[in-house]
Amino acid sequence: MRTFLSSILATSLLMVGTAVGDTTDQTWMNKVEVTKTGDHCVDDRNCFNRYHPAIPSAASANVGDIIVLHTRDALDSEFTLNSIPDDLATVDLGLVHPMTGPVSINGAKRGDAIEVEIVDIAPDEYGYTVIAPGFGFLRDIFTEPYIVNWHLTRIGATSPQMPGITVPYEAFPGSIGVMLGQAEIDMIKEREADLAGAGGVVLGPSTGGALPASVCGENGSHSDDCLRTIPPRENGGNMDVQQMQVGTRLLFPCFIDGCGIFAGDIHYAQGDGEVSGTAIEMGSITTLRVTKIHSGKGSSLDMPATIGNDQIIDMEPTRYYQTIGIPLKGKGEIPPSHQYLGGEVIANLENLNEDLTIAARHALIQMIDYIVAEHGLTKEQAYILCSVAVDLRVGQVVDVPNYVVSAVLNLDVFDKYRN
Amino acid sequence: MKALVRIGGIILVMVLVSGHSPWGQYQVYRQKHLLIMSTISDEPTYSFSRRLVTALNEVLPEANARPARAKHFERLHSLFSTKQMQIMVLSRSNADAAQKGEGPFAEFGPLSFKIIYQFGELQLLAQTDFPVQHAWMITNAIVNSTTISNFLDSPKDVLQLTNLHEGSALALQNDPMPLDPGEENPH
Repeated sequence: MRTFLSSILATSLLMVGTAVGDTTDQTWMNKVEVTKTGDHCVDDRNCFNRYHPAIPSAASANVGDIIVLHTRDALDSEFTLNSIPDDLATVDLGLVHPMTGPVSINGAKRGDAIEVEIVDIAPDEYGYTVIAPGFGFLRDIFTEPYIVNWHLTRIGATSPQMPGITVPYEAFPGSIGVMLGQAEIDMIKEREADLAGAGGVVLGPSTGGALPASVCGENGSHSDDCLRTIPPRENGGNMDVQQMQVGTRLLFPCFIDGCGIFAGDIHYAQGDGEVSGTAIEMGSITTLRVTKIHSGKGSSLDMPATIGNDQIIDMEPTRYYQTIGIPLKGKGEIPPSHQYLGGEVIANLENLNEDLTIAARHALIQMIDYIVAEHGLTKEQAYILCSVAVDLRVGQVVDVPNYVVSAVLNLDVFDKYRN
Repeated sequence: MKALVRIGGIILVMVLVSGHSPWGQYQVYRQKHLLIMSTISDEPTYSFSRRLVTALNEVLPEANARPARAKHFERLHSLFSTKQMQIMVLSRSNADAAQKGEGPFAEFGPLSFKIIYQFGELQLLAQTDFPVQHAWMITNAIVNSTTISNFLDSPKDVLQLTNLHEGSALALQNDPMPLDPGEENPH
C-alpha cells in the first residue's frame, strides 16, 4: 500500500513538474535578429547613418517574422553615467543618426506599402538628454551645453541631476523608416537645395563620418547622393512622434524592392516637441513585425501613417499644468526659426499673424518659468524636463491672428504628487 | 585695451570662418567658442585644458574659450582629422605618437599639427592651417596670463621646437601680430 501511494505521489509530482516546468524551450517565433558588433556604427556592418538605395541589406525577413533590431543611441555617442557638459563639444556630428538595418522584406516591391507593428522596446540601462548648443527650439536662449544622465528601468527614468522626478517609460523609435529610391533622392536633393538657397537650415550630403563608407564615405560609390538623416521625409526616418508606441502599427510606402526597413535613435520618453533637441536617448533592443504588404498602395501614402488603439490614452496625464501660447514676441526680436525670412517685416511686430511656431515658443517659455518658480528647478533642468515630458499641442488654427499652441506638463513626473 | 578688443574680434570672426561642422545649427556653438580638446585617455590633459581656458579667458575674453573632453583617442582623432576641432592638448609622448600614427594612434593613422606652446609634459597643438594671427594671439595670451605662468616652458625653449607654429614663433620673438593682406597697421 505504501509503495502504491509513493508511486502515485511520484507520478503527481512528475505531472506538476511538467505543468510548471520551464517554458523557454517552447517557441513559435521565426526571429530575424540584427545584432550590434563593436562599440560604434563604424565597427558594425549592420549599421548605417545615411540614406541611399545602394546601402546593402543587413538581413531579409518574411511577412510575420519577428525582426529584432539592436539599436544605438542617436548620437552614436561616448556618453556614460558620469558624462559632463564638457563632453558635449566632442560629439562627432558626422555620425548622426546610426540606424540598424536595413531589412529587406521578401515580396515587397517598389510602389507597395508595408504595415509594421512595433512589438517591443527593451531599453538599455543608461540614457541621456542634452542641451546641444545651437540646436533645439530655444537655441537662442539656451546657448551652453548641458547633460542629464538617466538611470533607466521599465518603471521610470530617474537621475541624480533631476531630483524628485521620475519620467514614465513611454518608449518609441525616434527614427524608423524605409530606404529611399534614387528618384526620391534626386527630388529631395533638388527641393532641399532650393530651401538652402533661400536661407533654410538644410544639411546636404556630407561624407565626414558617413556610413557605410563604401557607399557614402569620401571615396564611396554614391558619396554625393547619400542623404543625411536629420529631417523626416516621405520615407519616415527621424519623425520623433511619441505616439508610435509599442502596439501601434505604422504604414510605410516602399521606394525600393524589399522596402528596406530600419530603426534607431530610440527614445525612452519624449514630450511632443522634443524641445531641447533630444529626448531620453538610449540604445535598445527593438522588436518589429511586418504584418502585411499592401500591394500597389504605396502611392496612396504621401507620408507614413500610424494606426493605434488605446496607446494615446495610456500616455495621457492624470493631472497636468497647461500654459497657453499665442504668436507674441518681443519688439525687435527675430527668433532663429524666422531669421531666414529676413527681419524687415517681423522685427518690430510684437504680434505675428497665424504663426504656430511663435505661439509654441510663447507657451514653452511660460512653462519653463512655471517649472522654475513652482518646482524649484533651474532653467536648464526645466528645459530638459520640457523636452522629455511636456507636450506642445495645437489648440486652434482659426481665431486670427492668434492661433494657439498649449504646453502640457504631466505633473505625475514629480514624485511629490505621485507617491 | 582697444587693441585687445580688436584682437578678440578678429579671433571670433576667424573662428566663425573656420567652422567645419557638417551640422549647421551646431556650428553656432563651435563658432562662438575657442574649444580646447582633451581626452580622458590622456589623463592630465582635461584638467590642464580647464586651467588653460581660465588663462585664455583672463587675457582674451572675446575668445570665449571652453574645454571639450573626448572619451578616448579614437574620438579625438576623428574630430581633429576631420577639422571639427582646431586645437587640442596632448601629453608630449602622445603628441609624438599621434604625429607618427603609432601607439594609441596606430589604428587610426597619423595626425598633422603644429605646436602652439609647451607646458612641461603637455603640448597645445593646432591644425596645420590654423591662421597665423590666431596662433599669435593665443601664444601672446598664454605668456601674458598670470594663472598658468608656473606651468610654462620658457619662450626660449619653446622657440627651439621644430614643429612650432609660425604665429607662435612670431609672438615669442616679440614680432607684431601679422596683418591680413591689405590691412593697415593701426600704429
